[in-house]
Order: sequence, then structure tokens, then C-alpha cells
Amino acid sequence: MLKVENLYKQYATDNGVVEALKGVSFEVQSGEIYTLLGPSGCGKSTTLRSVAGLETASSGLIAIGDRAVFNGAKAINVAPEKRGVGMVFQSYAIWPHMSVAQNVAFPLIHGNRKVPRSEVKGRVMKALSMVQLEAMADRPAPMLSGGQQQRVALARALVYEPNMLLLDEPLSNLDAKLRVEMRIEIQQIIKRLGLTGLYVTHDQEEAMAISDRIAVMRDGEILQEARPLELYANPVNVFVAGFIGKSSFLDGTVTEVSPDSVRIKTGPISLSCRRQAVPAAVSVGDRLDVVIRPEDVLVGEQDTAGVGGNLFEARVEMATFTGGRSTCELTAGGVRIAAELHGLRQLAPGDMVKVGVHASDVRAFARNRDSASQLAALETV
Amino acid sequence: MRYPNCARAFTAAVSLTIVLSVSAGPSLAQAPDGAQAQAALQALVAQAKKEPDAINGSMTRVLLSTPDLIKQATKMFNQEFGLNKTFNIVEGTDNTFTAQMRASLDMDARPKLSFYTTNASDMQMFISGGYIPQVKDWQLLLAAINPRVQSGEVKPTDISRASFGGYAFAHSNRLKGVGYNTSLASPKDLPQTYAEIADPKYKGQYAIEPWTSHWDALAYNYYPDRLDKFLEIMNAIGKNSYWVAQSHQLIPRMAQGEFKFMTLNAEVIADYISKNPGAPLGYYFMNDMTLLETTMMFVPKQAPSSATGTLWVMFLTRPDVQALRWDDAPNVMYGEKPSDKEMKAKLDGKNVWDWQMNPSTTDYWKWLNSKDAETFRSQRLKAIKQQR
Amino acid sequence: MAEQAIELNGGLPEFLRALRQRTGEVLAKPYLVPLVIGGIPLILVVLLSLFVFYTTFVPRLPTKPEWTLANWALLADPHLWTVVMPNTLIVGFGAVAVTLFFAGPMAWLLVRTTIPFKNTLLTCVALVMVIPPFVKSMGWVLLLNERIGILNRLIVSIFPIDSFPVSTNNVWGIAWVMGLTLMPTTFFLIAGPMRQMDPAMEEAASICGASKLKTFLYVGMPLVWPAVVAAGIFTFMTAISLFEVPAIIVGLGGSTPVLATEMFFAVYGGDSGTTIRYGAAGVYAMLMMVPCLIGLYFYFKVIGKAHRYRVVTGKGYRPRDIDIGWWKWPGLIFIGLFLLFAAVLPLLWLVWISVASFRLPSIDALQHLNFGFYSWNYILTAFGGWPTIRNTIVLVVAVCIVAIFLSVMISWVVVRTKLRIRRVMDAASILPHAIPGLAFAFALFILALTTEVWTGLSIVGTMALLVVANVLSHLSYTTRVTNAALIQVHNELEEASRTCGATPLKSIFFILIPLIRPALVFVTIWVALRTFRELTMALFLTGTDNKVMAVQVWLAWNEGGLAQAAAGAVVMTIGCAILLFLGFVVTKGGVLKRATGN
Repeated sequence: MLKVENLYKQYATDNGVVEALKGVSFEVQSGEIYTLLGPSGCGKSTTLRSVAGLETASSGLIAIGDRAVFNGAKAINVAPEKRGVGMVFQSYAIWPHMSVAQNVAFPLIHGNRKVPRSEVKGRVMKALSMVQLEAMADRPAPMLSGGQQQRVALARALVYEPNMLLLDEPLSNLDAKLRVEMRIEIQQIIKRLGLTGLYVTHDQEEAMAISDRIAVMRDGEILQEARPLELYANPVNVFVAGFIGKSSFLDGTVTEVSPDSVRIKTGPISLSCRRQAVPAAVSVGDRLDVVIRPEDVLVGEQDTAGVGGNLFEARVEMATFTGGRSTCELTAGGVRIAAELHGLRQLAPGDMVKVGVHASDVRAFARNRDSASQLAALETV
Repeated sequence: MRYPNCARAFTAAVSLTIVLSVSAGPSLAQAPDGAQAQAALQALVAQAKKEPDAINGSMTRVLLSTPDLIKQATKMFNQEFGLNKTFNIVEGTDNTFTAQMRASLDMDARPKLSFYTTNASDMQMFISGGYIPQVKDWQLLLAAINPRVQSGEVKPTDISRASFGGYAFAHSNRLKGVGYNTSLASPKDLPQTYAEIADPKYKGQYAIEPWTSHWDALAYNYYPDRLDKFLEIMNAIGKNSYWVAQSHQLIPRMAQGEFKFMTLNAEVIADYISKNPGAPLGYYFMNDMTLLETTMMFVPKQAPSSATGTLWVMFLTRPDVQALRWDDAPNVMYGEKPSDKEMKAKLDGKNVWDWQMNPSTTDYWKWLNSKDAETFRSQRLKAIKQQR
Repeated sequence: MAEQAIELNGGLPEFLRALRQRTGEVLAKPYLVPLVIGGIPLILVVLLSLFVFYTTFVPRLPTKPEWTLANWALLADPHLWTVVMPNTLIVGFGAVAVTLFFAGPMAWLLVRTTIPFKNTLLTCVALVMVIPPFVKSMGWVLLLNERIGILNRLIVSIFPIDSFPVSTNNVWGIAWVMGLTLMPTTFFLIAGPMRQMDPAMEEAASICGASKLKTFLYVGMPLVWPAVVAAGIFTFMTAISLFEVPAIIVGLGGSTPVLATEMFFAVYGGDSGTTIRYGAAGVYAMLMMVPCLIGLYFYFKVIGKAHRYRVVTGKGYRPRDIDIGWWKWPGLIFIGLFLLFAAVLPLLWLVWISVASFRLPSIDALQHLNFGFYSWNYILTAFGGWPTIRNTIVLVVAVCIVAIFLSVMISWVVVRTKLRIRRVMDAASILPHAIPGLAFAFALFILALTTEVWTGLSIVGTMALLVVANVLSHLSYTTRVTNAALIQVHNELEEASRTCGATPLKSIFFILIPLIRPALVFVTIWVALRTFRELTMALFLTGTDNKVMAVQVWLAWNEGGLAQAAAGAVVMTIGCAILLFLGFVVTKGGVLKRATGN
């Protein structure tokens, strides 16, 4: 349905040329929700806006359906209004000088997919009913709440029945509870209408929840493209691993390599992990970045019973109760590890606890310049 | 004088013998041949008929300033010549039009207007610049149009004199005088000659206009050898003056008593006094000389309606058309109102003269307008503006 | 953009390919129409500026291929540097000081505090703009003058002194009256940003224990500061080029020449038989432009920073008015004093002069009141008859429509695109402000003549020329307003329209323009009032078909019809007041709210 190939974008600023996109390629299948995930400035919005036609890439190719809407080499650049996509903006972009119904009717009256006047009303009401706003049709748009405005924006993007829906951080201006409700609703509508969705967000949880496939982007490049579960299970580098979830990063040294497993020492802790979970060309003495997710860190005699050798003593530095869970920070000989426990498990700073990690939950990545910059980037996310 | 009839009036009421005796110039001894004159007029009218009915031109506010008066004059004009013209009169300050016209002519652009009105002192540059064509048979035409010329009462050269002959035609007069505040001074205590203004005892008591024309006559007395002396006097006058500004701004201030007297155009203050009865203002004329500045009308080269313009300019010299004025407008030459009579009385015994008075004055005037006088002119302007 | 392509790709073939692609893109770009429409007037503006510069190197008019440096010789005159320039700078900086002295506190009082009668007072401030400068100038000449000033006489009669030697008849007087005249524009330029200052930031500071004054100085001021500097530069530029005020207050020449009056002499002569010194006028214009251009440089620096400051105004905040309690009384007195100085006294003088002519207010004078000039006939004559009234209406309407339309187009390119040319356009759009009205009118006149000589298209003396002159000279202010309005409208509102299938132009007309309508209404009223009373250019460009009321009233006054001109000006002022009031009613107060940036 959507094909983006080798998209490059440079633009000049006062501080020199900036490369916003460095060869972005991906394909979105019909009926799929595809998400571009990444921190701000990673190029995800630029990619989406290039698909919409609101920005022009320097080179590359974009095809929607079987039509090339942008081709740098052949100087094809179809205007946004002729690309036939629906788009929902971060700021909702609801026109405050119009009523709800006028907002939704605009594409049918002024757009290039005009319908006979007599049909406008019916189509508008149908779109509004899809987002459960029929009752608000005559309200002035600014009188709505944020969630309602976003629904209007959705209705407006759907009213002319595009095949493809582009969503640019549609939920980031909503509060947490509404965000969860709306993302379910958006997902259901897209699936029910059989649309293809290109979704942009910096919120990994939102991406996981809504997407069929996710592309993690950084610095104008796609680092990894995968289904949500796979992304979670097998991140390709430190950055992806860090961006999906909130991991602890440990500085490790390989002490033992066997066909099935690898043993890594980090501070006083020695951890074994599966051979597949570390870079292929690893040998004793190599330094690796060890990544452990907080939810994989097991605390206490009972929980650590089945982990095998990956066991060590740690001191509780800090424990924060956040309702359903509590997060704590542990140190073992200067190594800091975050752990997440059930909310009712109360630990106090100063407690000494037994900590364990299943070998299958330990991942390690080669330590080099790339990974250092990725780690630095994660700090700022 | 410009107007035969006015000359008459002046001869009767004022003893302007000098003016009349020198004003003759090259003139026709007898009244022009009536038949010849009529033929010339008919030719011009026939040409005017071919021109567009709408005609534009500039005039000052003194004459024909209201739409009603313009309509009246237009009606008379059309009846007289069997035409069907409408006149669109543009009013403006003289210097705006002079600047505009000058620029148009410099750029060799076709003039917008078919006739212009400007000061006699600005005329030389238009005539010598070749911007105005001489009207063919102008003496005959004036005779055919103006009854007093026809009767021989007035010579055509009184209306279009000396070096203006056939180029520009007199329209109205401005007399350079002195205005004063009647509650602060009487003319006896004030300077009686222009040079006297330089007397330190008047320091800070008078205002002057920035225009140099007031001082032309004074400068003439020192031409050609003693112009340095003139500049010295002029400089003292400029330095001692309380204010330099346009008279219309200064008269209300003088009426309030801000200063005692100022040099100005007499008709401006006469007009002000008649519009503001009771104002403590008066005016008089200097003993040494009273410069007569004439407002001239002319038809420029390539004018859109040159024949109609010429007819109109000449038509306006007729006494009956000159009589079309709004209530307060002064008309020294024709007016019978008390203010007009008063001005004539004040002129009694004064030395009224202008640039076309005799070959010597004309010579000075030509020199003044030439490139040679550039330094002198700028020095004089600096002296007036007190800029050293 | 092409340079960039070279940088990125290097080599000629790539460059050509990039160029071809670039050209194709430009033709298909949404900015094509605004760029072309907005570009035409700006090209004209640049052309006019260059022309003024060019005239300084030719002896007379650029008809013959002659060159000279003689015009620049006037720079060697020490008088220029010891008298004229210092005077001009005093006028410029003095006017800025006066406007800021009033505009700063008043803007704060009227947009950020709970002071009563806000709307009425705002209307009054706007009305100050309507009173012609020559009225204010003449009023102050008669009010404060050591020889005849009404105030001076009053003080002498009350206190045991022989004279009260304070007078407006000097360069400080020009600065004072100029400041009063220009204050409303400054006020509205400052009031907008002041309105948008996020009170949360001020609150944050006061929670930290800063006093109210310190909060204002260290948190409030830095936020408004770019607007204040911008307004100051704007005022400076206007003050040194306005001719009417110095012409009346210090006369022409005399001991207090300023650049504007010197330039008047260069264009109009004043010396019998002299040629017009076009080149000298051009040099004077250049002298005025230099400080203006330096000012412009700082203006853009400041504006550049203002964009950064803009970030602080987040979404969904409501400006809260600060309760000043008892301090509202001094505040009201302060505003009252300004209105007294800038509007009430000159207006009273105007009304008085129209019924009592030259007489000073006294019991005796009351017996001589003459309301004759308020007869319709006199007023109509003062206005120059019906055709003049019709011309004036046509002029005002045409200038408003054209100026606003062009402004939106220019601002759209400047604000909405990332084209490099947008900076040039932004600078060019404010350039007219640096060119004095007289030089502008003169250059336009010559340009029109040249057009006529070359193409036969005759526009000299027509309404069209006057419309062009007014539109170009007002662009500098209107684009400031439309720029600010466009920045406030989120880009995505237009983009949403594009993705909904509307073309770029439809998006501008159906989305953008309705959204910035309040700003447009405000700027329309501003342009209407300014055009209505504009004199310098209208006077110079007067021709057969473009007589307007402001010129006719000035002519009436010029010909000694003091009372008649005064009556005309009173009627003009009342007319504008009605216009303003209607604007106020129609937009339900939106105009003034917009004016103050809400």
C-alpha cells in the first residue's frame, strides 16, 4: 500500500547542512498499522510529512498504492491535496472558526474529492457517528475538550474515505487515561474500516499497543523494523533495547565463551547468558554492554529460586511505590541495576537482598563508538 | 500694470506714473485690426473644437477656488466661444506644481495639464528651457478676446509683457508688504525700508518667509558690484529674525502677539483680516520698493488641449471673469470692497515695480536665474535661513 | 537553494540536474502565487530605494548619461554635522523617549491590569492617531510659548514671576509633539507582546521571593523587550522623516533646521528661479535612511530573538489581569495626562479656533464666537467638494484592500516557507519605512513619469499613483501585524486543509484568512486612518484626478483659512471617531482586543 524507498532529506540551516533523513526505506502492507518510533529529531515526523507531501525529500521514492507520489530522480512531487491520504495532527488542527460539522464537511466541500451538496450532511454525520460525536455536530469547535477535538480531527480525516491514514503523534497532547482510550479507539476504527495506517510516536508503549509493525528510528535512519513482540525480545542494538522499555546498562567483560553460553563479568557480578544473545564474534576479554530489563530482575529468595547461576547480593538504594508496581534501585559493588516488583512488595533503602536474572533475560551488545553514542542518546530521550 | 483696466484704476486712485511709463515695451500703437483678430480667434476656436471636451489645468486658490465659481466661469467660456468644455481645476501650492511640472518637462513627459499657474519669478526657467511655446498671433487673440484690449484701452503687452510676451499671461498680483500686530506696534515705529530691518533694534521682533522673492528688489539695488553689501544686510536680517516660516503659519501667531511684524504677501494678510474681522493685524508697504509679483498662466509644450488652454488663459484676463471671486478673496486691481480700496490707498505714493519694469531690472532678473548666480542664490538662501 | 545543491552534490552535471529538479519543484510549489504577488510590490520598493540612491549621482534628472559627485559635496558642509544632524537625532531619540515614556506604562496598565474604563481609554488612544499632526503642532505652539503660550501666561498670572521661559519652539518641542503624535502606533506594537507575556512566568518569579518591581524588571521586561526595541526603532524612523511637525513648530530654516525641512528646500526650492535639487534631496534622503537602516539591522536582530521568546507562550494559558488596587488612581491620572496632552488640548484648541479664530479664550472672545464655518457649505468647500470626498473614500478602500492582501501574501512567504528569499522579502517589506515620505513620493513620481515616457501608460496625477504610494509606504507596518498574526496560527491548521484536499490558495482563503481576521480588521482600520490623514505624499502627487480631503484641508489652512481648516479638521476627526466606533461595534470590541494582542 505504501512504499518508501531510500528517502533522503537535507536542508540548510545557519549551522550548516542538516541530514534529516539518511536513506529511509520501508513498506506498509494494506490493512496494516505501521509505526515510526523514535526520540524527537529522529526523522519520524519528517518521513510522515514527506509521505503526506507537506515536506519534500531531497531524493528517494514514495509510492502510495501503485502511484508514485514522489520520485526525486524523475522530479515527481504530487501536491498533498492530490495524494488522497487522511491525516491527523499532533495539535488536532481543528479550525476554531468553524463548527464541528463544518470542520468535518470541509474536505467534501473544498477538497478535490468533492461530493454533491446533498450528500455532504449524511457523510458528515456518518463520520461523526464513527467517533461518537453526532450530538456535538453544531458546537463551535473550540468548545470541545482535547479528546473530543482529536475525535473531530479523526472524523475529518476519515470523511472522504481515504485508503491511508497518517497519524502524527495524535495522542501526545492528551492526558494519560484518555491516551489509552483513544489509542484503542483509533486502532479499532482503522481495523474496522480496513485502512492502512502510518503512525508516528515517541511513546514506545503506545507503539507497542497499536502497531502491527514498528520501525525504530534514530538520526534519520531506521535501526530495526519488527513486530512489537520481536522488537521487545530481540533488539538489534543498545539503542533499541534501551528505547523499548527502561533497561539497566552494565559495563561487562567476557570471561568465558562456550557454544551455548557466554559468561560476562560486571563489577563483582558474574552473569551467564545465551550465546545468541551476544554478538557472534565474541571472545574472552571483549567488553560488552549488558542490558537487563527491570521487569526481568528477580528479587528475594523465593523469586530467584529457579535462575541458576545468575545470583548476587545487592543493596536497596531507593524504592519508589507507584501503585501497581514499585521500582527500586539496587547496587552491587558499584554496579547499579533497576528492578521492578509487584506493588505490594515493600523494600526499604539499606536492605540487603538476593537478586537473580534468568540467563535468557540477559542481552549484551558489542561495545564501540556506535554504542557509546547510542547510550548517550538514550540519556537524552 | 498687467491689466489695462487695473492700470486705469491705479492711475486714477494711485499715482503709479513710473510703472505706467516704463511698462510699455514693444507695443502696438493702435488697437489691432478687428477682422484679423477675429480670424485668428476663429482659427483657435476651430482647433479647440477638435480637442477633448474635458480639460485639466492648475490654478491657485485665490481665483475660482470653488466648484461653483468654476462652473460659472465655464458657462461663460462655453457661451462665448460656442464650445462645450468642462474644466477640472487642480489646486495646489505653487511649489508643488512647479516641482511636478519641472520634473515632467525635464523628463520630456507629456504634461498632464493644459494650463499651469505659477509665479512670474519661476517663469524664466520654463521659457528659457523651451518648455513653453509662444502663442501664435497672441496680440491679435488677446484683442479678440479681451474687450479692453480691443478698445485699445489696454495693450496686449500689458498682459503678457516683455520677455513673457506671448508665453505667459498675467492672472493675478501679489504685492510684497509688511504685516504687523496693531496692538504691539504702529507703522511709524517699524522699518520703512527693507534695509532698515537689519537695524539691531528690531532684533527678535519680526519673522520672515523663507522665500527669497521678498529680497529680490533689495538685492537689485546692490547689483552688480555691491552684492557683498547686500549679503551682509541680508545676513543681519536673517540673524536678527525671530522666526522663519511660511506666512500662513505665522499670521495667527503674530495675531497672538508673538512678534511685532513680518514680511509677507499683502494679499495673504488682507485675506486673513477679512476672514477674521477684529484681528489686531495691519499691513503697510515699504517706502523703498514694493515688489509686484505676478501670477502667470501658460500653456506648456505638448499640452493635451493647447488651443482650449490658450483660449481659457486669455479668457481669464477679462474683467468680467476676474470679477468672479469668492467673498473674501482680495482683488486689488478690480475689487471695490473696503479691503481692496484700503490696499490701493496704502499703495499711494509707494514705489511699485516688477522685473519687467525696465531693461535693467530684467537684466538683473535674467542674471539671477542663470547658472552664474548659483553661488549668490545659495548664499542668499543661507542668509535668510540663518545658516552659516 | 541552488548553492546548497552544489554544496551537496558537487560538480556541474549534478548541479544542472538539481537545478532542473529545483525549477520543477518551484513551479509546483504552493508558495508560487504568494511569492509572485508579494514579490512585485517589494521589487518596486527596492527599485524606488535604488532610484533615490541613483539620483544622488546625476546632475539633474536621470535623462542624460551624466555623472556627478557634486550632490554629495553637501556632506562637506559643517553646518550639516554641527546643527542639522544633531537636531535630527534629538528629534528621533526624543520622540522615542516620549512615546516609550507614555506607551510603556500605558500598555501595561491597559492590557495587564484591572484598571477601569479600559475599552473607552483604548478607543481614545486610537483616536489620537486621527488628529492631524499639523493640528497638534499648531496647538502646542499656542499652548507653550514664552511669548504667547496660554500655559505660560497662566503660570505667570499665578506665580510671582515675570516670565515662564519654557517653549515648544525648539527641537525639544518637535520631539515632544512628534512623540505625542506617534505614541498610538508604539502603544499598539508593545501592547500585543505585553498581553502575551505568560503570567505564570511572573508568578514563578514572585514565588521565588522577587518583589513585584524586580519581577517586572527581570522577568517581565526581558520578554517584552524585543517588542519595545522594535517599536522604538519604528518610532525613530518615522520621527526623523515626518515633515509636517518641524515645519510648523520650528518653521522652515531658522535656527533649528532638521533633515526633513532641509529636504523640503531641496525639492521645493524656495529660491526664486532655482532649479530643483533632485540629487541633494536624494542625499538628504540617504542621510535619513542610514540611521534607519542601522535601526533596521537591530530590529531584525531583536525580532530574531523575539522568535525564541515566542516559545515561552505555551498553549492554553489565559492572561490574567493584575489587580493594582489603589494604584489604579495614579494610573488613570497618567493616562488622563497623556490624553490631555495628545488629544484634548489640541482638539479644544482646534474647536476654539474654528469658532473664535485668532482670539485667545476670554470672556470677550466668547461674545465673538462664530459658528459660521460649521455650515455644510463651508465644510464642503474645505473638503474640496463631493468629488474629493468620493476620491478619499475610493483611496482609503483601495489602499486597505490592496495593502492587506499584499501583506498577507508577503507574510505567508516570510512566515510559512523556508525559502532563503523570505529574509530578503522581510527586509524589503520594512524598507519603505526608512525612506522619508517626500523622497518616496518624489521617486514614485519620477518612476511614473519614466513609465509614461517609455510605455505611454499614464498614471501621473491619477488615483492609482496615490494608491501605490500609500500601499507601499504602509507595507512596513501591515506586514509586521500580519507576520505576528501568521506566527500565531499553527502551521498544522493549514496543512490539515491541504491533506483534506484543498489547494494552497483555498487553504489561505478558507482557513488562514478567517483565522487572522481580527488582526486584519485591526490593521485595516489602522491603514484606513493613516491613509485618510496622509498628507506629505498626497500633496506632492496631487494631480487632476486624485484630490483628497487631507490635502484640501491643508490647502485651506495654507491659504489663510485658519478657521475653515480647523472646522474641516474637526469634522474629519469626528468622522474618524465614528469609523473607529463602528469598527469597534461591528467586531464587538475585537479590534481593540486584537490591537492589544488578545
